[in-house]
Amino acid sequence: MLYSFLRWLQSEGIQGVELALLAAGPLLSEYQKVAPTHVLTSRLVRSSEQLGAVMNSLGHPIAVPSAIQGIGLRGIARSEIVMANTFASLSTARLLATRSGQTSKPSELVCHVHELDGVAERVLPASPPIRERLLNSVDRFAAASEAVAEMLVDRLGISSGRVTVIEEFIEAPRPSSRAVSMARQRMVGDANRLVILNVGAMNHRKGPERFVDLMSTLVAHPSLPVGVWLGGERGSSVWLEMEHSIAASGLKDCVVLLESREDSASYIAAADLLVSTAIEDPYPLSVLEAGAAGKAVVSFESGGVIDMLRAVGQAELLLPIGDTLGMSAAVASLLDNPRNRELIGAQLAEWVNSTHLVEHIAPALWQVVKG
Amino acid sequence: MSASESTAQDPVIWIAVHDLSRTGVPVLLARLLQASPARQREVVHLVAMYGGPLLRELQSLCASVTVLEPSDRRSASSAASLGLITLGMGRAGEVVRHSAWRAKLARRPKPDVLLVHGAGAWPVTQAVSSKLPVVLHLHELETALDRCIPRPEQAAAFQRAQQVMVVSAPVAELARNRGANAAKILLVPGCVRLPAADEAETSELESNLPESNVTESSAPETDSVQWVLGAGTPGWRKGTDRLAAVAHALQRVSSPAQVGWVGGRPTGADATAVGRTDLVNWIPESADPWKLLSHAAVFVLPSREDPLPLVALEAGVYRRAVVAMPTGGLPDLLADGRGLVGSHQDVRWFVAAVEQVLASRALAEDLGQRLHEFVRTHHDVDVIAPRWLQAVSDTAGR
Repeated sequence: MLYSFLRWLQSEGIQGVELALLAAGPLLSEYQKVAPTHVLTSRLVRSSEQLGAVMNSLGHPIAVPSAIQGIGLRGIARSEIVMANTFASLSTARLLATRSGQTSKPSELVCHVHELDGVAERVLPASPPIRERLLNSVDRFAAASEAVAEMLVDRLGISSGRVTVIEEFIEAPRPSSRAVSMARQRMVGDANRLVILNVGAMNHRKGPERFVDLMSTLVAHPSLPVGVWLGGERGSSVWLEMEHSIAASGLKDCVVLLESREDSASYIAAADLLVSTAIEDPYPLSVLEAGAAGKAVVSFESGGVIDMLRAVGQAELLLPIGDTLGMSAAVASLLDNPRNRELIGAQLAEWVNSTHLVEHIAPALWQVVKG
Repeated sequence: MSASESTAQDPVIWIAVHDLSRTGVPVLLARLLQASPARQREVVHLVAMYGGPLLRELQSLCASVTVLEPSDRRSASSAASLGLITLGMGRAGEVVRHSAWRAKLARRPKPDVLLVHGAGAWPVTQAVSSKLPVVLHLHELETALDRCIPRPEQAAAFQRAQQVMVVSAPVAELARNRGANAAKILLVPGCVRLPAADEAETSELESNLPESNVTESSAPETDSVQWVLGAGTPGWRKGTDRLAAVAHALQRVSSPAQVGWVGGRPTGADATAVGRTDLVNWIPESADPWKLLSHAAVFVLPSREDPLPLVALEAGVYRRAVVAMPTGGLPDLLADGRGLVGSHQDVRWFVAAVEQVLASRALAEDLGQRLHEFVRTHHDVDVIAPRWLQAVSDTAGR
């Protein structure tokens, strides 16, 4: 989503935005095309964070002086506004902001929060006063969904006046027909079977174990659906757990695990239905992409997908978290009824394509950033 | 010489265990030691990689307990070791860690045999002589074993062990598949202490249920509510996420039954979502979970991987009806009407089985009674503990 935002800024001719990445990744060269990009991985800021982590693990927490950490940020130009894209980068963003303040007015600090409670708990400082100081240093928060805003205000004690809901957005996916057909081939080969897709990292927060359980309840469905999990790294501990579960549930012919791919849009377009079994997800981009592609979505009640399905009058496709049999019934009903599936897909396509593309929401995000 | 004094011919036994938490593997160890003669316990020295709430009990059951690592933080040697491993100097990292362990163990009497009680404690073998006879008591199935001993090292580990004890037939099969010689394998299952004369009758226990046992979520009204209960460390392996599926399904059919789990709330990546309806009653672990669990109308084992959970045997002591997913030794334990166990890991079947037991008190009583009889005749600690100790002593003498 950040990449889409940067592209939008570029297309609007907005100058002066630089990107500081905590670590490089597969999108680095793409980022470099849309904004001057700095990678902090090898710099002192990362080393000092690691030192802090080691000392913490030894039971001797230390706060590395920001002056020392700031040395690692010297290559980055000072800025009036610093934006942290996620809580995970907030500490570093704060360093950038306060560093500017040593000789001049401090930068304004904006945080775009894409996390809900479980992840926020892990990435924010554990010490309450340090956490409070960090959160208090933020001038404005953009919350990725109503659920995120609720967390910020109700559970993290941030005044509602500093929080604006800026829902997640996507660029309209346009996979080629060849890519879609290849994706379909990878998922089910030439078989004429319906594909139930779940896109997400392979971790328990995204609920892959619930996805396997869901498929165990659909194995006897007449359409012989195939469940495809797209995301994760082959050989990771959760991946191995899922392989074990698939074998133990007798689902080797019914569930396919595929590693993370950049062209997830092709897989979504090639699927018949998308499910989200996450127990915590602020606003999965995959459900927006599914909506844009006209695919019906069934999900556990978490984060922005609630707003999306309610907006199109399909709240019955939201199931209480963990209600695997309820989700199974909702999915089976859509498998049984292709016309209904198409109708819901069309409703979602209209909603996403008219409200949640980058051109609809990026201006509002830019307003929050500018203040 | 009194019966409590060790004799010259008693071999010195070191028992290695991963931790002293109140979970199946350490609890079984305490149970086996308790049933062993005091004389033999005096030559047993326990080596725990981490501590836990069973420390005091185990200290009273053997000659010494050495805890190698603190539970709440990394020791200096462990941090140094981790640093070296991170820098790609894995061998040096291991040397640092194991040298620190050896220093801690230097004052203990020289062992004649090392019993590795659970694969999680396998790293302790690196802190003893490579010539020391080793017995491995395997309590793990596939994914747990792979986490404890890296797959490429398993064949060597099984060769290193003179004897491999296993808690169930599927564990034996796994050990064979991973390189253990079939002749080394001995079945030593989990066991329970049976009450002298049917002390486990639920009616007697009900009066002993302290309110303080349930400090999280709603307190069970044991007389008027049917409880669907399970127990263990929450997470993927125990299948605790499936309780929500059971609870929602029961709510859909307007069942008044309540679903609960003793062992605490899932945490970390398994944590339940905040701010959403959670129908499951998460109840903290306690020293005697059966004060509460004995009220279960149905005792559930939704595990994805469980070699032979002690709680299944304990459910038999208390004549509880058990509904289980098929994993490890559970299909054998619950066969022939001793419980309901699925043919696959199938949540729909599991929920239906729970509903079936809730609907028929006669069925629940029958399942509970049959399991009770089986546990009494096959899993009595007084029968199993001597076999266990004999196998360890025999290995020392080889």
